[in-house]
Amino acid sequence: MSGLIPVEDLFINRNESGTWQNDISDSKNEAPDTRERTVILDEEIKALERQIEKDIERFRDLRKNRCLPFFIDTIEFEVVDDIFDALREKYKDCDGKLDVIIDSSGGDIHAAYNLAMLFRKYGYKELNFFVPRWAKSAATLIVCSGDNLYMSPIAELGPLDPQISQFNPLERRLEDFSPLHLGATLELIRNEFKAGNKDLANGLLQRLQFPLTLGYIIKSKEVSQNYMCKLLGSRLLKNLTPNEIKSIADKFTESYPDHSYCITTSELNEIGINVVKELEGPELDIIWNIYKSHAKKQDLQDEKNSLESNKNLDGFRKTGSSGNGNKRRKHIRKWGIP
Amino acid sequence: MGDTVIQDDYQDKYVYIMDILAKRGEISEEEIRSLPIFTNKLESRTIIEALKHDSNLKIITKKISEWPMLEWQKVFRISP
Repeated sequence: MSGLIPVEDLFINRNESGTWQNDISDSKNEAPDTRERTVILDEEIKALERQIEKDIERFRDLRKNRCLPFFIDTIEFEVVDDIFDALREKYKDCDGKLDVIIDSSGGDIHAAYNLAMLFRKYGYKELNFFVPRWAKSAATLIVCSGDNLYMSPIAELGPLDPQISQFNPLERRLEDFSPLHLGATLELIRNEFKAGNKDLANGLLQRLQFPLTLGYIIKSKEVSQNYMCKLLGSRLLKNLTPNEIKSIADKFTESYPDHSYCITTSELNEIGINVVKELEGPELDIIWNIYKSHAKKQDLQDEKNSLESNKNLDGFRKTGSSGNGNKRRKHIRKWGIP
Repeated sequence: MGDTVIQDDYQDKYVYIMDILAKRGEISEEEIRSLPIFTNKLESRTIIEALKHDSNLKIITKKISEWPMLEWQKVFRISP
């Protein structure tokens, strides 16, 4: 993890001539217990990193396959480059069998598809995905690209309806929505018209902005369906007919009421993906250890960040604020550019 | 700089982060979340989303750790 912002950078202000000045002159004035705790946290983080490396080796020895842990919050365009570099450098000896341990909340669907195709190149004989806890949204697409999918008893996949998060410039607030919400909104307007509430329906209709953008968002659902059909039909569910594959892809993109819906192994069986194996024995032990070590490492990293933030807050109090929310906000106003 | 319009309550914090950006050139989402100016997660999330829609900024996903456990973070950078 990269370091946090240096304290002196936090207390920036502009003087009347527009040049930068810092509000804190002594940024090194850090409490000894904070320093000690930071050192301990650093050591614990390193110990966990070593443990993760050992577990990856153990998993490789157990499975006799090359193993790639892929733990990421959001899959983005640049991630494809980094994974490609790692595979080119470290997996030259890969014999066509690849195990990928994946934990991700999703991300860019195109990057996910590209990654899936990349994993297939290195796992051209056999590509196996292991999900300790979750592979949601675009990560669900990735795990559907392999030959085998192994999930822990509490692992979950998720629906593939695209999620859009953007500012509503009229109301000046953040909006999260999916093409499914747009469909529901149009249905609502339609029903109001049918019910004779034309004023209400017109009012709602006028609030719908940018019809081309809305059309694009609705269309984006088809992208997920298309990718899903291509990937499912060529390996994991290669014995099913194209219509059966399409029906399953449609379920992933349209059938669930919420993007966070928890799709477990039993749910996958119900929708027609009955080839998923539930992890058990030493494989589950190691996969779960890797997941827990990584989660613990993130917790420690958060604690370290929080210590840094508190340290910054201490410095902030030196500038005259008592540090409570309201006063802090007033103090911040001073920093703003008029 | 700062052409994104956000709620008045957040405007000061937004401007503050833009000031940091102007001085340092880049700031990560993680760094923004750790700033002691936010009273809850919604505030930092709203401002991060606002930054994503600022045409003066570029968002990159930066690798921060090496194999075997690659990790990434999102970084906001001032567009050249």
